[in-house]
Amino acid sequence: MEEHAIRRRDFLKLVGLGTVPLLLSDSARKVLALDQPKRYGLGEVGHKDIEAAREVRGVCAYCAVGCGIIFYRVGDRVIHVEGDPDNPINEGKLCPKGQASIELFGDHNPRRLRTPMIRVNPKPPLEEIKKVRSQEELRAVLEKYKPIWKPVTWEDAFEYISRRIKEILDEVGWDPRQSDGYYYFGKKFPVMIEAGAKLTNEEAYIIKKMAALMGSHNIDHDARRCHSTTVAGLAGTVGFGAQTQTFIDTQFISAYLIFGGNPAEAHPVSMRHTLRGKEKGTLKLIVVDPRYNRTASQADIFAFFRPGSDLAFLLYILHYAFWERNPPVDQLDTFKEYAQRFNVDLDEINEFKEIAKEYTAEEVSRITGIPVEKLRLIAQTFVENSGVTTGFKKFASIQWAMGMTQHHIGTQITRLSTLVQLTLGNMGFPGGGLNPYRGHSNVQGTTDMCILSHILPGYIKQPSSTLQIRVYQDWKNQGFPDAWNWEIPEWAGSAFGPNEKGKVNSTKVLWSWWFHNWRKFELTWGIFVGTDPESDPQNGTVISDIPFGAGYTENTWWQGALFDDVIKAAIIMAENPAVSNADTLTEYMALASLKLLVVVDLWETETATFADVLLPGAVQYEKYGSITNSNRWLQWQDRVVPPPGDAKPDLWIMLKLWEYFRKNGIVRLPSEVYGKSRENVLIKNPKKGEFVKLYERRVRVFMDYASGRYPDPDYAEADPELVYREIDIAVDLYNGMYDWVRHKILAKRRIPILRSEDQIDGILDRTYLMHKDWGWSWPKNVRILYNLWTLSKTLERTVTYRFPAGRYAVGPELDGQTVTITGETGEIRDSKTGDWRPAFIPGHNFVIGKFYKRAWSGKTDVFTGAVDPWRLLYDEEVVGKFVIFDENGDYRIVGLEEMGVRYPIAESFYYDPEVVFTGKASYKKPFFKGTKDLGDGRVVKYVGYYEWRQVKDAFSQELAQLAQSKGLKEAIIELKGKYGEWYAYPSPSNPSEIWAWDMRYPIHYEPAETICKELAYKYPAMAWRRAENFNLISPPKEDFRDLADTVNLTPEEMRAPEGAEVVVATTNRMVEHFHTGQLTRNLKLLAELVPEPFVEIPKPLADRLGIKPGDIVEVGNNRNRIYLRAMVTNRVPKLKIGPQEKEYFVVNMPWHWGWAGAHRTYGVVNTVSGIYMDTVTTMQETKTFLVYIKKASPDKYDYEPGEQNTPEVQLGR
Amino acid sequence: MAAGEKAILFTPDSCIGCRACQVACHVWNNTRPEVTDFSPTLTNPPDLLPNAWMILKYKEVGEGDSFDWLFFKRQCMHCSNAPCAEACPAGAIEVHPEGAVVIRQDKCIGCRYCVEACPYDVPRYDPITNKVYKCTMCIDRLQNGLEPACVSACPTDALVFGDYEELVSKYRAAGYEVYGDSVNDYVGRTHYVYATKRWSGKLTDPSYFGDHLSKDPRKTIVSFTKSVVKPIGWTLTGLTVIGLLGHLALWRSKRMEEVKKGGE
Repeated sequence: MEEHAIRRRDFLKLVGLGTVPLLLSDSARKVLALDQPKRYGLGEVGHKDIEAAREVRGVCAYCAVGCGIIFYRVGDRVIHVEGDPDNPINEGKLCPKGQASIELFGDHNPRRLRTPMIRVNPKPPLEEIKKVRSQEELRAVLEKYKPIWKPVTWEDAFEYISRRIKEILDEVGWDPRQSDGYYYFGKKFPVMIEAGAKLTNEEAYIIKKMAALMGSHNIDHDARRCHSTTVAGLAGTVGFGAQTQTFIDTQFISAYLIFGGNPAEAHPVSMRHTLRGKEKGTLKLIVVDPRYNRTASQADIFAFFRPGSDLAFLLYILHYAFWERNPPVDQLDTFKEYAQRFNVDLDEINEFKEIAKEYTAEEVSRITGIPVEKLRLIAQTFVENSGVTTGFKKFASIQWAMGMTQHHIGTQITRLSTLVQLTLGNMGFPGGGLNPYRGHSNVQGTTDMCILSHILPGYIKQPSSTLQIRVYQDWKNQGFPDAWNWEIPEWAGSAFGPNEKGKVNSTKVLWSWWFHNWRKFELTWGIFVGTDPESDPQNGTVISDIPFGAGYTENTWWQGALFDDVIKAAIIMAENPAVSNADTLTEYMALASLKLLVVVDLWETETATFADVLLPGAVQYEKYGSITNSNRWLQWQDRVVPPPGDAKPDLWIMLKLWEYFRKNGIVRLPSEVYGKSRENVLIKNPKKGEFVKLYERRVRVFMDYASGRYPDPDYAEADPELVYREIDIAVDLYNGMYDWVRHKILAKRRIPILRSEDQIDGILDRTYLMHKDWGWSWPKNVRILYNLWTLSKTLERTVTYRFPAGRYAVGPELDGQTVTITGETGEIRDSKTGDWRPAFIPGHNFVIGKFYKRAWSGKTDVFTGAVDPWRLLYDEEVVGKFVIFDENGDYRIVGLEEMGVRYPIAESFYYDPEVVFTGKASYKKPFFKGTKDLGDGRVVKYVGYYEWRQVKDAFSQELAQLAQSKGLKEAIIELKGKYGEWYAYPSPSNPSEIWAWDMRYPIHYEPAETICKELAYKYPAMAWRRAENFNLISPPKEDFRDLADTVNLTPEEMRAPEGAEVVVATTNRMVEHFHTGQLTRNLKLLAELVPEPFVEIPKPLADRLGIKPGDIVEVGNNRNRIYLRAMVTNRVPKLKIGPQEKEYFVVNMPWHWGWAGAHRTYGVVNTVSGIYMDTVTTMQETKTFLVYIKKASPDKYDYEPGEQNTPEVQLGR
Repeated sequence: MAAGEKAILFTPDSCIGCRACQVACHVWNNTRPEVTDFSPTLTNPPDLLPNAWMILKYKEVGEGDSFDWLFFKRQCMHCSNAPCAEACPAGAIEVHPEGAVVIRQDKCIGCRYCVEACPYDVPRYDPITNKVYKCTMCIDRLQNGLEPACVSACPTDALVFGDYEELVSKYRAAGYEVYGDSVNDYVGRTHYVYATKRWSGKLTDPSYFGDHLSKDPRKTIVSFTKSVVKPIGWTLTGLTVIGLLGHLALWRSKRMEEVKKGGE
């Protein structure tokens, strides 16, 4: 809502030219002897009346760098855009997409959707889509079924959608009554929701909340396809799956390895800070990539490498550090000290060292195609600029994006990057760490809010058994204790951690954290999770309004629709999977199979081709809300202008859908079906065993955000600030982003100056340009993750902080103590005083947030008695009730005042040194554990590397033998069948015990589709361990058996036409375009730069195939064939690979094109990419697959500029 | 040198080829983006247009370890001697004290003498409006205290703007090779300045940047004295194109003679 008339002084401060009269140069005088040159008004050349404009600030809607952007508008027309000079991230700069943003507004873009529409003609039928195996065939089907739309009112659209969904739910008999309680299985809900990473945090939170309350975990978003493997690899190893540094901080890096990212194109403004280090001469930029991209043009060291050989390359860095370097890094004192700081066991390191030993420079060169000398130079540069080799004075860092993540072993690669940094002491310092740059403006936020099928907002586990609910009820009855005060009942078994009170391990801490968060959801959502009666957790009836289990992901849902017959409908908001999904023809089949598809978007997208209902959404600039950038900073977007016509922001659409869903009986909570309308909040007397009733809570679902506070009618009905407050309360990770003392949204904070030394984290803020008063950063406004030692080690100083006795809501470990602070602490508002106080003491650890102690553990509810979401959110009011037990078991119930609590919603947690040092990094992490009985007397046992290496050669040899006789695909099917598991082989001593590699450390795995057979046998792909991947080579349903023919694992399996060359293919994004192209192809400013689809072909290959620049080429494989322009270039390589060092070519395709909108083609690149999924997250392997390439006839090419192409609307029907 | 003289300095060393400058130029000046075709080099549109006042050129050089991918910004150089201004019979091209050379659209008569005179092949004639267009150095920003739009956009400071002498001497002192502050007698100095450390010696090498940055930029039609032609030009505004062309032919032969004389 903040808006200013243009502040002329601000506008001027950019240059400081002012209006000082200018003296004339000699030449000018001469020329101007007759005339004074004309004086121009600001904007006169372009006919823009900038002086009359008002400015509105926001965050760029493209990538996740989080650049500040200012729009100038006159009335409802936006006339200009500039970068925000106050924003420390971009300092007034923008990339071409940010600059072109102006064309996203309805006034500039006639293509924007303006009214809800329902389809009036038939959709492309599954049977016809199923037969498509070429661009021509796809075009024929889709043109035959081109959508025709009828404009309708929002009311009609909502009624239609709810009626159809109700029919589907009735058909499947959707009901929460299970044999052992009242709850839903989240994977059985027949409607898939896909909600894009362009949503604000508030929208993301609401859509996940809505899905959960409908009983569904069939909800996911594009983060699945972009950084899911980053989150899994990092969180599973060091605590959180996010960038540890900030973009600004990259200037302090000493060696920056760009490996799987291309920031100059995908995150251009980030390069502003990185190049500052290079300019100063303190930063060495190393780019290792299959393409010489625009980032490579800035590299000090560049190497081409084969896509899919990432693990081998990173393993060589460790090989160098452990086996080539003298002395080896593990003999350094700094190494030992650092390992201790992360509680890494030295035995674990020894096992991993054995793996690294095998990856010599020569071997890795054969896998990656990087010459030995260059490999060594890179490893040396990286290792010698690392924390452990420089006494924590210099640091190396790794940047990546989709190049690293989009592999079927993506989680292993991101995890290996983390292990490299853990080994070399680079993590947890400014100038060092891990930099997964995220792609969408708010993909970090939508991931944090968990529009994901397997976790709740803030990365919270979803319940999966009634036992968990029973243990949770018992935990509640113990007074919502922290891990240290929790006594896990004996009947719970050992799965939740040590039963004894006071005894703590990571499992117990995590469960208490999850329980704590379930409680937050119960309170803020107005739902019930527990047993009835509450006093009998062991035998009472289990009721859970949070559904059980995990749902389908964006990459597996097509199997849910086609193979499992579960998914019958879908709602897709702000996403375009018809272009972005891998192996897109399978996506088209799934979309075509749906009884109902609702698409909410800015345009008629490719996905809308399959839709029944098309709803007009709003672009980020037309919304109010918070946006989290890639380095975890929250910033606020103000509405620049309302969306065009009758288009609406997603928050409004979601809440309306909810209203209609409620009205039509689509949402029926288990607690409602059971009739649980009150919760007795009981606390068990620790001495006497009886229950003390703390208060009674009304159970009534809360989704009421119509505050009337906004002048805009849509936002008056859907107040994003209320949702923002709810997120602060409900989502632990984001707690602290609202200032309950000053009633301020900290995402709106815009203080561009640095802190003074005496403020919290002031020294770090000044030294490393942290800008801690610009926006807010999770967790607890910490800017550099895991930053425990920067003060003590790098800057060689410390700070002390005193907790005056009795003042703060902290336990005896801190109360009245003076503590030494060694790193970044972050800050929180104290519950008792409302003061800012340091959060994490002494610095902070990698498990921060998850590990905490509670000042009032066992005495009260999580918000000291928050009972009613209405009163909590609207009035910021809680009913504070504490129970105080004495030693005899006598008790009294006291109020807030008596406890000295003034701000009960603020923080009552504390993090003392014990908490900080309890956590352990998972240097070793088996992804498979225990045994699996095959039922024929044989047992599969998941084993570590010492065992696995005894049988791995035999496994490879058997695979090679089978593959040579019947092909790799058949060999895999046979071998997995024979041993009951993939990557498994009988133990040498006991053939009935089958050893299966437990994946505890990353080793090299070849891509699912590999150009070199020998490597495929020696380092087989891991894909086939996951059922959904095995389904690809062995489809489980008769109707889809021939899908197996679309797989080509080796060049031999590919049906390539005469004269074609089989090559390794990779895909990329360009700076001029964005993802599926809808946000850029529809913008003339960007389409001017790169209008047509193309493939980058190495010059020698083009010469061999007779392909000239601009020729039309056919790119295909068993899945599909498409036609693109040829870009002939030396920027893609020819590499020597494999034991014979044979030469192979790599081609690259940007994937921004589809058939909808301007600059269209049916040659969708992802129709030839593969959908082999990550063994952990189901990430697709789009960064390496096999294609053939050949010259094609120009008439095959169907690209058209299509500037005038707008939706076909049938009026008056 | 007079105070107030400005320069835009481009260094390919820091350019990441993102083309924020190209889009910013369109947005500020409200010039229509061109509907282009596939470009085998990425450069698009392939050359300057009446509605494309700047482009970023891409060029691949060498192979293997000596491979280089060059990014190069191309637009009006804003010469101090401004041959275009001197050639303009209508007095439509003004040289501003900041160094900006600007075509006044209200005065341009579409005669294209400036096109003939420009050694960098910059001004572009639009037959629909019968006017010539080119980069204005964002004169309407400069005069109102703002940096040019392309500079303001550039994420990596490959484009910087400032006081001419200060900027040039700063980069020279930092070891950069600079093109522009003293080119030749035909253009004088340019207010678009190019600087590099990385490609030292290659700025005017035709296989690198030299196809744009000529060592000795010059056209056979040389400088055109305003004092002589301007009054004639004014009387010509209402005359026919044929008359104009006749004048051009006359003027050209006269100047050629002068050049010959001057050369002796």
